[in-house]
Amino acid sequence: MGLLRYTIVRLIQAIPVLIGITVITFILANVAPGDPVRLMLQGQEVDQELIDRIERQYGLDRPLHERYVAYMTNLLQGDLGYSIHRDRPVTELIIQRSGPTLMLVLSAYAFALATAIPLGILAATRRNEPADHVSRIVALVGVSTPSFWIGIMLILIFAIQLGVLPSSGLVYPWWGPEHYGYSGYVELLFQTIRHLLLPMIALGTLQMATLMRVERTQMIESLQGEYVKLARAYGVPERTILRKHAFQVAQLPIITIVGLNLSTALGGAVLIEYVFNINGLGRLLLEAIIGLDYQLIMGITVVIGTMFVVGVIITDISYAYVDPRVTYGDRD
Amino acid sequence: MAIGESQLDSDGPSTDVDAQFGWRYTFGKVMQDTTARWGLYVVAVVLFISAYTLIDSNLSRLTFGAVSDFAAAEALPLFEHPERIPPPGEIESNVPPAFHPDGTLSHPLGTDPDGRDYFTRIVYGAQVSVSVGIVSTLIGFVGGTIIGAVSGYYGGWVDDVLMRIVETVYAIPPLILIIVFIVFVSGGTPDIRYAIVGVGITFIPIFARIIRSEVLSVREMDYIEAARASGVKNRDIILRHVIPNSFAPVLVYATLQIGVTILVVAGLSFLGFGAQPPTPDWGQMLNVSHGYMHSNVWLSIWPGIAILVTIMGFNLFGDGLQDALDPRIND
Amino acid sequence: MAEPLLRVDNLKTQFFTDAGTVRAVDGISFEVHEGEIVGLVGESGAGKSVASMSLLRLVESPGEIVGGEITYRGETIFGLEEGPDGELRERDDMLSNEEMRDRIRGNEIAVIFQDPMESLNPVFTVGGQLREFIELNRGLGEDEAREESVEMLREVGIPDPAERYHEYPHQFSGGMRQRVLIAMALACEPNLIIADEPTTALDVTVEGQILELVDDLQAKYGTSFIWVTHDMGVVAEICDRVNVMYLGEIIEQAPVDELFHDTKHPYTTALLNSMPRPDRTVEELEPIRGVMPEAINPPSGCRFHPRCPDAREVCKRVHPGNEVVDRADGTPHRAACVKHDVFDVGYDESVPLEEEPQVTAGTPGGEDR
Repeated sequence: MGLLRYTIVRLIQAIPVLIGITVITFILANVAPGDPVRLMLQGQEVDQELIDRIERQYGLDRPLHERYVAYMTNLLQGDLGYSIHRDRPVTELIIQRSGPTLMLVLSAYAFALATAIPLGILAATRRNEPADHVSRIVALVGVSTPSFWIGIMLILIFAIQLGVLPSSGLVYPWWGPEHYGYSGYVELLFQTIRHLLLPMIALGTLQMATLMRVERTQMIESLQGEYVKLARAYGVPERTILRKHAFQVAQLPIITIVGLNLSTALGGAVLIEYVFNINGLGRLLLEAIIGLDYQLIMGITVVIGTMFVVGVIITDISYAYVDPRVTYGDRD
Repeated sequence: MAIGESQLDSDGPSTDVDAQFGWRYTFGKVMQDTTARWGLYVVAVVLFISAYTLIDSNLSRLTFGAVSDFAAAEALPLFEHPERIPPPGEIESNVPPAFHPDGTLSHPLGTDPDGRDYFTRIVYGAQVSVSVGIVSTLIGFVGGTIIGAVSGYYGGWVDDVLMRIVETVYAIPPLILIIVFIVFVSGGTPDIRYAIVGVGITFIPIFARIIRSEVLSVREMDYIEAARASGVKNRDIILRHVIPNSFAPVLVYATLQIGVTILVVAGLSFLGFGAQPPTPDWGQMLNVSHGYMHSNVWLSIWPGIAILVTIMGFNLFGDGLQDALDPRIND
Repeated sequence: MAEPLLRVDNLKTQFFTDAGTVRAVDGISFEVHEGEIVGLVGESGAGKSVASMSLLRLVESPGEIVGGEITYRGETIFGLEEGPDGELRERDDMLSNEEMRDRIRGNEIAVIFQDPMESLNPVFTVGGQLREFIELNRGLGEDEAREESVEMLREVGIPDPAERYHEYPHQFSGGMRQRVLIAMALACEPNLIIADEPTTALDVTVEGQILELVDDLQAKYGTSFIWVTHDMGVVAEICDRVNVMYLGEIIEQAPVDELFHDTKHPYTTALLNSMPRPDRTVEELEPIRGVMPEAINPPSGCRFHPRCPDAREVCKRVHPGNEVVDRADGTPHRAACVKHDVFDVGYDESVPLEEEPQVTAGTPGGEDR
């Protein structure tokens, strides 16, 4: 019951932030110098009548606050507007392009966690030994290298020089093997992984590096805890101490970091989708920007902001679930 | 709210940096640490190159006029002009680096598709990255200090409103917020100036959070109480007492933030929202080289290494500074 | 007298730091017999905790046991011998790390730590942690261990043990957590419990309850205790025999009554005088002069001489061992102070040191010419 209440409280607390995101996006979109309709049409020869018609259609002839209220009314009904360039509803476009982005971001996290946790633990237990130094160098290089350049280098090595992995696009398993002409689900899975591998590593490296640093510090701290001393004094084997006693406590901050880093991961996805030609939200944003597709740009920003907020709420709830000390809903 | 917010507050450097540590002491501690020392060397070299090229390019511009003036290039003491495209007869485009059989020593890192010397462009790129990194961080630093100090000092509804705004800006991934900012504010014609301002504004919340938590602890100090009791104006208390005493951890954070800023600006330029051609900028050079990945591999390699080394320098130095100022995080 | 349960002989534990070698424990010897509560007393930094962790061979890096012998029921916990090349090496009969872990820690010697707030793992239930130690050290199955855990929680006076079994440490008060730690120690059915300042973090009323509980349980189970503390009041209340430590050394060793009524070392006297007692006013309290020096660079001669009211010139030169200075009912009373006749180093003829003996450096014609 406590957890459910906590979840509801967190969701309610998120409402002002979500409204804030729409306000910021709306203000940005409406401070643009010049006539948005002319910008949108990018110098095409059009008569004033068409411009007026478009302005009416978008409600641009009405005052700002009225337009915001109209925008929010539509948004609450799931309508994020209409893309004039693509002649399709924004909501539909975003839903279509969300899959690849989520697949990319989640796999990058899977890669980051699967490498960072063992390496961080290794570094913590072999403090100041070669394994520790190597992991610290990896972490340092990881936080200092632009993800898109890692992507470029991976393409150069694995796609261009060695020719073993594809350099662009993803395979979406939900389209089924027939769509790609694969023999079956085994090949579909194989191709999905093959295509995902390079972008996943490119996007996940920064996450891996930050998580590894945190994991190392947390494990070192946890291993110095009195409860670890107690377990040792009662003859608990070192492996159990590492895997159970010290590890469980050290994981708590990792959960929070994962949630907060979602922000960098979603931003990085724009770059990685660009490098690897992945048709996700990030590339949709870039395409929308080239066409100055206002409603599409706003829609994507609002949706990505919401994804981050939801992600943080999910990690907060898992934290509360894992850490018995969290008092649900109360500010202690 | 319990976790999310408290964790956000604590992801900066720790709050109680001992004020008694003087600059000389801090510098000595940084120099003791091998990695931090190397970080400082890298930062020093990059700063020197930036300063040199800044003076160099402006001198030549003043003396010889426009970039397209061929005379300018010949008169330059050390480098060809990074933006000057050689006249049609002299073009040597896509020359590979010196170690390649087809390379020449006069172009150690090769030339780009327009025939410009790549080494020169890489060297000049430092200027853009570093100045953008420092200026943007400064904007975030100053803006964040003001908002954080006001918010932390006054508390109450002022604090609530400001912190909700900060939280909201925090919720949109920085890169995306900056891109949207640049596009809308520039009306579709991006420029490095918009990028600098956009990055700076986006980082205000991060600084505001740190300085706010500092101020919250400083606010309770006896001397602030005393100043308030003796009728010193709020504005003066903030400027003379609160901000100076909350400064050190934010300064450390700013050093680390320069690395992040350079990283973000490189990403922006790579996508075409930062520096515009023909300005030599590492991210923008990677954008151009993206089209030559199959034919001219080196075009993609050098700018990336330059970014990596520069950011690593700032990160190492920042880490060292943090360790020197905060004895609690010594691992 | 029967073979002691635990015998510590000339134990030396040192920490190798950048600043130099810290002789945290510097040649201490004592014994613990069956059913006894032995006190290990001293100011913080005297080396009490390091000494007690050495007994379990759980000294943390950069610390290391470098000499001496620890024997528990005839088994060698620690012992060195001279190898053929003249190098010191561990004796063959010394218990291996695995044997220490599986046979000694927990099931033979258990510990109760100082800080009940930090000693329990925050993410596991109290019962789960207790059950794990019972399973491990008594070889019980999960269900039996659970029943035993609840039983032990009841035994140490925790109300509703079956419900509280499922609660987490943060739901317990400090005193209750200390009871849980005591339950852990007793539940493993050890013969010796090392209690490392177990009541220091608690307030006085709770401290009294815990001491009473330990007294009752000790009578019931007959377990021996090493009680590490800085509080002479606790010592008086609970201990049978006492070892007083100063800067890594034991400087007085006696049955509790002798120690209090026939004190033989000025440091012990000073400790007793600095202790608040109902029969004395605050004005009569005498804090010990100066602070304890760093163990990294101990004073020459008797380590207590810079703070000692009885110090004489000879104290700066002669480093006294812990010798038998008296006997009460056949039990030796040891003290490391040259003012006793057994030392015979000329204390009586020696010149008393000035009030501030530390500042003699540079004084022309100082006594040490």
